[in-house]
Amino acid sequence: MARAPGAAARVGGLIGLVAALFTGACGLYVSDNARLEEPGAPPAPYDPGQVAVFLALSGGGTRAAALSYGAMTALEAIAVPGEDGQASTLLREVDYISAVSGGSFTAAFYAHLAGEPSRRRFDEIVDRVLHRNLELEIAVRLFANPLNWFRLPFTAYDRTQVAAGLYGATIFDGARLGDLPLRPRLILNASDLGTGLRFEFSPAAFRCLGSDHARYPLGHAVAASSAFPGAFTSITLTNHGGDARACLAERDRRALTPATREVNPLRTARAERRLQYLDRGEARYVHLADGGITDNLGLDAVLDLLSADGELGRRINQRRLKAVAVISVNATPAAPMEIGRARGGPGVLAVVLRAFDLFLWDAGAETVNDLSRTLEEKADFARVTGRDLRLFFIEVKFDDIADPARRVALASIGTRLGLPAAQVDALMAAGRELVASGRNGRNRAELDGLVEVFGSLRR
Amino acid sequence: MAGYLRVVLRDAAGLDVPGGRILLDGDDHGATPDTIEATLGDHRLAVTCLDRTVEPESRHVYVVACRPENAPVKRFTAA
Repeated sequence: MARAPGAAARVGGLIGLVAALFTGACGLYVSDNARLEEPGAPPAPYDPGQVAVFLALSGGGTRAAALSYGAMTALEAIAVPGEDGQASTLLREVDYISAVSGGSFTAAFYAHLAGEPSRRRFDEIVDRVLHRNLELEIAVRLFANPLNWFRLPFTAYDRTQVAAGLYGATIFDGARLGDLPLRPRLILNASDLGTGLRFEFSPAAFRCLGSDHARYPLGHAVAASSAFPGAFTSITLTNHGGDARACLAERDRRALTPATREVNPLRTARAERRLQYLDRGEARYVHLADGGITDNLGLDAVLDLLSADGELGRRINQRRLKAVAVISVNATPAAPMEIGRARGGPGVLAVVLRAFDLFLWDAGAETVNDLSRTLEEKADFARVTGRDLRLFFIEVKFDDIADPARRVALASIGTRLGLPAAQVDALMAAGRELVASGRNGRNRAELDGLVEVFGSLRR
Repeated sequence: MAGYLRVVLRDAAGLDVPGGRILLDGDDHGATPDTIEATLGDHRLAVTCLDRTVEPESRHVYVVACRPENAPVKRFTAA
């Protein structure tokens, strides 16, 4: 059948339109990080005072977000003497909140409200995050908007961008990183797929990219931190050209020597990462995915801070810190025994998810070992050199639930961004209980010691 | 693993001068005399003291793992 010339023209026109959409719109959604127009002086290091309290919230979807919220409500119930005779709570004394993936929702929600006189709005997280099915809402947003039918197949706009927009609009009131209070200092962790290292949404990291940290949307940072592989794509930042003075300090330049590499390859690798950001030819864009790929517990940030050239390590050398407390909320699933009960093995997807869980479990155990060893070294250093320094470690994890059935039930909850309300409530209750009862009661002793330190310093 | 350095500042007569600022790679790490922790590898160590010249101006140090009791001593002299 002969085709009418008009039909051929229409087909050609349609192809042209699609091609124009494809080529013209590809770059539209690449990144949302603005250029830093006036760099100014680098921000001063954060001063935690004499006691530094570090709260780390792990990844694990809504399971982690709910466990974290439960633990934080328990910390809010622990009274400590505040500055100038005011009453305070342990949660309000937290200086740093480092979070990964699911834990980032709770951390960011708390931090963006922490500047308010009343923190009662923190309870709103139950309705705004924990009891929602974010997975379903992302899917609805993806397909309910006819505009997405065109831009999804032909542009870089995808479900991660939809998720970032949803989080920003419906959870964080459109807040940007610059709207966050200075205390607690929020450390949202993602993974840089180029360097394979942890990426922190900090002013320093953004200065390395010549980018304005303050204008970056909080919802996008949380979306990057929780961009679970397989479920989401990456979030991309444009490298606008970093400021070498801000990006590569003298300690980093010394880290690049062959002699340093021999005894301290990790120090060299970190400096090389920063150096890489200065080379726009190699790192024109930074592609970020779930923070759990590099550190699912959020504890690498405190290891960096405590390292001798880190913010807290220097203060220990200066004899200005009297106590460091690390509170880790770890929602990594324990070994689910029920796999061994069934004769049939798990399916393809279940094997992949289980493999990822096992990787997280091993990597997390190694990170906790590193932290324990670091704290022991610091305690030894303080004892030998006569420093008045106390160190505390409080851990919230499923392993410490006494009832085996309850432990397996909670630890087997999948990594989803939408859970039944009953599971969420059970996780919140577990988080509240484990703050005091965890580590066979050792948490209780550590908390008592920490409260005592606040009491003695603020008497 | 960490390394440690004992940093002392003395005057020409060999007496301790307390309160000299210890600068490791340009960052403040406390005051002399003290043992400080340092990451392993290469560093530049300097000591500054108000109104006094300190020799050497700075020195290269290579930090290896050790116990704080065995920290190598790095001496500076104030004029």
